[in-house]
Amino acid sequence: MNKNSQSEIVSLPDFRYVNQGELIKIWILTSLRQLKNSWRIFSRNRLAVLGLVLLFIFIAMALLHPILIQTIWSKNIYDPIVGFDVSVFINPSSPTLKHPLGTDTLGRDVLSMLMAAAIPSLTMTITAALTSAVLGTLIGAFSAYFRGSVDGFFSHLSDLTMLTPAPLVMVLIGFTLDISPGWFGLIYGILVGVGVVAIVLRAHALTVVNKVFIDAARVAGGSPMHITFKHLIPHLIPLATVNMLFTVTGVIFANGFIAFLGLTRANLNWGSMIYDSFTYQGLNGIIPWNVFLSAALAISLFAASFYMIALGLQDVTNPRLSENMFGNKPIPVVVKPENLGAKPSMIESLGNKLSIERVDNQISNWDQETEVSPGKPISITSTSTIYPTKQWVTVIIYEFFGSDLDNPSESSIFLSQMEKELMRRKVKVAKTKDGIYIASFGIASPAPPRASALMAVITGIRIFESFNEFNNHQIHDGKDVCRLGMGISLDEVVFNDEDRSSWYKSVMTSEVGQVALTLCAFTKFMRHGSLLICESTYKYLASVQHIFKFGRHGYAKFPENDEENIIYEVIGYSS
Amino acid sequence: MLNYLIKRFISGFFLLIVFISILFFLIQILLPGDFASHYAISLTTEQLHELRQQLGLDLPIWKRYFLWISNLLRGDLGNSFTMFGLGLPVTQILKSTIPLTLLIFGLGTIFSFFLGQWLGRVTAWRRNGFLSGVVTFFSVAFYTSFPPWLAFLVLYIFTWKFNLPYAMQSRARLSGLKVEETHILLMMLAGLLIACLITFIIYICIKRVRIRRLPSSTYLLLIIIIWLTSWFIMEIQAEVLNIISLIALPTLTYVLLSFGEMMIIMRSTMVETLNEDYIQTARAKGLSDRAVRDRHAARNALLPVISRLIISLPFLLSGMIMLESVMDVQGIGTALFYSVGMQNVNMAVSIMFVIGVISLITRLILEVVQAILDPRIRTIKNP
Repeated sequence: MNKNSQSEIVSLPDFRYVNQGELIKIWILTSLRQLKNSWRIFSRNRLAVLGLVLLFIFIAMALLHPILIQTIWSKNIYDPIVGFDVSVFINPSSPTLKHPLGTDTLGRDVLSMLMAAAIPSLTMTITAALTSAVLGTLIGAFSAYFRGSVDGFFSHLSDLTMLTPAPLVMVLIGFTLDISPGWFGLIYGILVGVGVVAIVLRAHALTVVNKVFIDAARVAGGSPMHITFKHLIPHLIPLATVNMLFTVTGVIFANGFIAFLGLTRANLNWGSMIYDSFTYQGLNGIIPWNVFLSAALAISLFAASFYMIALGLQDVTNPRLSENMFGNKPIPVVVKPENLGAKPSMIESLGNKLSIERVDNQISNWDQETEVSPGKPISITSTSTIYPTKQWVTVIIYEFFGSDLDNPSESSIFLSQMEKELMRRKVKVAKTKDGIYIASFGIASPAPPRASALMAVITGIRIFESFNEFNNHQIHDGKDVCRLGMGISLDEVVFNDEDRSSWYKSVMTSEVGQVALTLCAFTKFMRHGSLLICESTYKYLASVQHIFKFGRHGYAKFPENDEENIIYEVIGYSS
Repeated sequence: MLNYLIKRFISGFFLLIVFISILFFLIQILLPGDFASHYAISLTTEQLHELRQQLGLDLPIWKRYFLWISNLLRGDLGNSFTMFGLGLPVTQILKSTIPLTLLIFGLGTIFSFFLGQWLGRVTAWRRNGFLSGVVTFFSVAFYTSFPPWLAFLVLYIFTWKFNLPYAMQSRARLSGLKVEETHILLMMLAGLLIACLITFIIYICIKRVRIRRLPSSTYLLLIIIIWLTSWFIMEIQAEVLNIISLIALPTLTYVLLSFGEMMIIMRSTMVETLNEDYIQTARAKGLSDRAVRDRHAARNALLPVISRLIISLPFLLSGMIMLESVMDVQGIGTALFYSVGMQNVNMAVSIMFVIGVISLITRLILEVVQAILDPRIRTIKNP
């Protein structure tokens, strides 16, 4: 073990967030940026934007109708159920200025009917959507987390509802019971939420449960409820939204269909408008095309609007599409050490060597091979959208291809062993031209900072273990690879049992453990959209920049002037 | 696989019985009155009482339930109710209605699958083009159109404008589309099933042998050709042509209603697949555009379509049933709505049971197909 680093670890600065105002500001700005980013992806899908516009029109119709009835439209003429205009002689009449969509066979204003029918439809749809999303998320999360009998029960329940089509059951229920739109939506929501949505979300939750940060939360002593609600469910919400919007078209059709068959007694509904237009056609033999077309179009467009919005949201939740969206503007936030809770004495001791920069170029610039020089800003922009995408946090693991391994065969065995371990952990490894291996970890960003930090630590520990296992190979102690940036205090990491915490402490005093600590710092700061950088970190990040570019192809490049171990050198806090 | 399927089928069957039992109580307890009370005006009190006795409606509900469920487990679905006591056995009614529904449903699903995946593939290939935009728009429009409206439009265009030989009634319905020759329908269904099976086997063989892959339209043609020849082998061609002309319009409407979803899923998965590295590799190898599209991209994009089809199958089925009752096709849907409206309990519950069995079996078939096509699924023991 490296004595040198052990003694330095004790004098670690204790950075903590205290300034709540600054924190809230950062939070608002990051979520705004997230929203902007999502909107950018969403708006690329023209159909989705069209759907959103349509939905707004329908909401406007529902909101405007009571106002119009109260103010401009006289109740006798424009009432959607009993209204009649004496000045129109032949009903159905074609559109005029007074009646923009004409009147139906009974002399009622079609536009007014159309707008009045939007209210129950919206109530029903929103109830159905919310119920299905909430139920589906809860069931999916619980059955994925607890497995066993809970899972068995709910998956049988899902199978049950999948056997019989939910819209059909709704038609039957509407057939037999004359229920209000709200109840109709609620029952449909339950049927679909337990069925289709739960099946889709359970499959997704299973992949989330197997991620490392859930392990980390478990190790940290989180109760099942805490883990499900705080760590698991936030990952399911986007997918739940998409699915509820997809399935909600069924309830619109079912409700319209019941009305179309003339089964709902007095409810005004787009479906019943179609039914009426056929039924009362016998009065004078004219097909009231204005009623028929407008009602049919309304019901189709209403369903289509939800479907198209879901298509757009599906793009947003698609990690592959959102990963390509690097071209977002970072927010200009200056992080001061005071805001991060550094004590005045600490700042003094850091002196001029700590330069804090908030970074403002676009990540798209990262593709260019720019020369790195201090004073030139770089940016770390979290790539998170509402879906758990991965942030690639890169860290230098170990320089082992240098002078310390004399025997080439030994080194190749070590190399293969390590690569195997890294592959198993899904850690991307890049080799520099100097023979330095650099690994990058994927960290799911929407996880709470503590969980992601812990995850990083655990990953670090595992890699460390695998190093140690190899013939008790002495770790190279020439350079302090890891002390590049700090930001997390050791107190924050609590383990349940004694063994683990002592083990953890021994790990933390080692080099690789400190690498993990660096990782913690990065995740924490990346999550808040800002980064505390000392000069060496700055240079280190410049190297990351190149890995982002070349990492995929298996090699990385460093700036030309790295003879003096710029990457390893620490000028920051420890003096 | 076989073990899993048997397990699935048995558990599905029991779940179905539970569901049907719930429905049995729901229809009878929640609704005011019973079948006999629909005739309260035309019959006297004694006659009503007698009718109830004949139908067994005077027994307490739990007794009726045990009678019904024990009959069901013995394969007897009970008798339909009529005004004059017990009518025809439900199985006989089902025998005359199911084949028509199944034929339209099967034929329509096959057509919409091929159409949807072809359109999705083509539109994903030339993204952002004008034509692909138009196709996408119309797919969404058809998929989200209100089934009765679409049915009316199809009928209006084909019967009024083109004067096809269907009488139009006042409420946008065909006049009682009914096929008397159920045995011919059954033969057609069997032919269709065999055609699909043979085509699927040919597809698998070609994939294994690794000779040039045929375009998907060939498989559709193959299905149609085998189906056609099966008519001539069974010597039913004259009757079949008559039936085909009858079911053409409902099938067309069903295809229009359902191809959109498959197209959208195919398109989105295909767009994702086109960003993969192996597509770049295939291009770099110098393969033709068509080969890259059909052999490398479309093949992988097809799997999510099938898994999505499994989930949305009940929705397709319910759309089909709505369509049936709108177009007045004398299939299962019309019978269902009629019997629920009349509280004809035996028939309504039996029809729901049959619908459940149909969706169960179709889902199992699709799961098998998925497992054959996707090697990843075969390795998972407990999905």
